[in-house]
Parts: sequence; structure tokens; C-alpha cells
Amino acid sequence: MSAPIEQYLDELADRLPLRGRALRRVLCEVEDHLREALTEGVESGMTVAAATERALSRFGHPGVVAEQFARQGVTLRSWVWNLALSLGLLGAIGLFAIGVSGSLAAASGAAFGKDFVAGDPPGIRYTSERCAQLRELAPGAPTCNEAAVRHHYDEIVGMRLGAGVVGGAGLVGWMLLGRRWRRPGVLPDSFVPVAGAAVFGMAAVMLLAEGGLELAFSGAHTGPGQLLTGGVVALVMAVGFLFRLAPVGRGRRTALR
Amino acid sequence: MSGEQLKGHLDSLLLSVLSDEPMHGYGVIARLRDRSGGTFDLPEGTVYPALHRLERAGLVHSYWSSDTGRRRRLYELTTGGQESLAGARADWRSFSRGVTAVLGAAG
Repeated sequence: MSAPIEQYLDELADRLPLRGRALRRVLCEVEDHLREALTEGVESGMTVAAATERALSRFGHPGVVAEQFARQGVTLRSWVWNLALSLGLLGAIGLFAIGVSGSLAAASGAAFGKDFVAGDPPGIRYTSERCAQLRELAPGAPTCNEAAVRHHYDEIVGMRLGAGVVGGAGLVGWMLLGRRWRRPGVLPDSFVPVAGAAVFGMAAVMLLAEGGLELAFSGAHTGPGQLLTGGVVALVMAVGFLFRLAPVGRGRRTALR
Repeated sequence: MSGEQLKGHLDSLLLSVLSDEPMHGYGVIARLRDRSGGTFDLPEGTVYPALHRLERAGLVHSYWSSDTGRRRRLYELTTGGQESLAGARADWRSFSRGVTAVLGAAG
């Protein structure tokens, strides 16, 4: 059997939502089909390479074929389960992105000052009771406002990094288990990239717009970095998801049901 | 003919092809192409899920055969498949009569 056909069967086996005997049956049928098509092509005067290419092209992209098999007997339960797994993946990616924005916030704080990330908007005043609390939380701060900035900065960076750790653990868990549990084809391959691009894209627009306005009208010491760092990471994520969409659409032909 | 146009008719077409004799997937596709004069040139890989669906629905039965020296899965119509095909043929005749009457009148 030619290498491209073997590669095709390997890719199909990876994508098919089948196991054991059912998987062996489909692979056996597909292999028989491709061999037959290859033989027919060669007998009609084509080279082996050309006949192989034609056989594979006529059979269709492995993703499309696997999707057609996956649609057989899809239940509401499997649909909900796969939706939950996909949303879990998006959630883990989102938390990890928040962690990255925490690192960016820390870097911005080091570069432009902590008030770039955690400064208060103009007109904020703290009660003496709250000031005492803040000074306890940020000992060594010369003023109440500085104590507030330091405490809020630590909160922003710390909580974001914490979210990142949780998201990273979620991603590892998904790579180990979620991928195995997910049944290909129940949801479109494009679901996660489209949802990710939409959610992160909207977040990027809102955060960058609000952060930009704050920077323009209130200055760099009133905490616009908190929004801008989140916006920059969200924008990068949205673009990343858009790039993920390209391979999903490649090589597709109209499928029949 | 595009895949979109074929949707909804594929099952009947497959049943019709299988009504001749038991056939493996490649044969079904080739017969469908030949009989339609090349009009139904399907993405071949999508026919197998359809055959499996028909089998689950009890309309076709499949079994392994090594008659040709190669182990292949053959499909044949069940009694339910024959009845379903007869119904599909009657529906199609009625539908095509109606369409022909309307489109033909316009010409």
C-alpha cells in the first residue's frame, strides 16, 4: 500500500469517533475502496502517484468523512457533553490568557509604575478606616493612595497569575483527558476557534477602547494598564483563534448526509 | 449535480443501486456514477457513513465476503429496504409528475 494511503488511513483513524471492531471495519472498507480506486487508475494508464492522488481526492478529506460518521447516532446527551468539553477548553484557555495578562501587567507596572496598572481614577478618596486597612496591607507606603495602589496592584497581578495557573492546569487536564473524551464531529471543528475569536475579539475591543479612553482623558497614573494589558492579550488570542480557523476550512468538499 | 441537491435523495439512490445485487461500497459508488451518466459524482467517502446509517435503520444488511480473493464488505437490501425503496419510488414518481406538470407547462 502506498504511503499517502497509509497516511490517509492513519489520519482517518485518529479522527473517527469509533473504537475496536467498528473502527477496524471502517478502516478495512476504506482501505479496500482506495486500493480498488488505485488499481483502476493504474489500469487506465495513470501513474501510481497520480492514481493515488485521484483516489484520495475523490474519497474526500478525512475530517469530512469522520464528521459524517460522527453524525450517525448523535444524541442530545453527546451533544451537551461535547459542548461542555469545548466550553471547558475555552474556559481553560481564557484563564490561561488572564494569567498571561497578569505577567504583562507586572511587566507594565515595572516599566511605567504600579499606578499605571492599579492607580485610582481621579476623585477617589478613602475613609480613614479603609486607609488604615490599606496601610496594614501595604506597610511602608508613604500615603494612603500609594498603599491603595500597591495593594490593588498586588491583587491584580496575583489574582491574574493565579487564574493563569488554574487555566494551565485545566489545559493540561484537557490535553490528557478532554481530547480523548471528545467525540469528533458532534460539534463543528470550527466551534472552538469561532467562539474563541468572537469572545476574545469582543473582550479586546471593549478593554482596549475603555483603557485607551482612560489613558487619553485621565492620564497614565489612573490605572489604564489594567484594561490595556487585558485588551492586548485578548487581541492576540482573537488573532490566534482566527489563524486556527484557516486549517479547519482547508480541503473541505460538500458532504452528503 | 451538487451535494446540496442530492441531500435527501441519497438514501433512496443507494437503496435503488443495491436492489440489483449485493455490492461493496466502491461498486455502489461506481454503479451510481454509471447509471446517472456521471451526474451523481459523490465525494466517495460520504457514501460509507450513509451505508452504515441504512444498515442501522435495518434497510440494508452487510457481511464480509472473500469471493474475489479480497476481504470486502458487501451490502444487500433487507425486506425493509425493499419496502422503503418501493415507497421512495412511488413518492418520487408522484413528485416528479407534479414538477414536470408545472415546469413543463411553463415551457
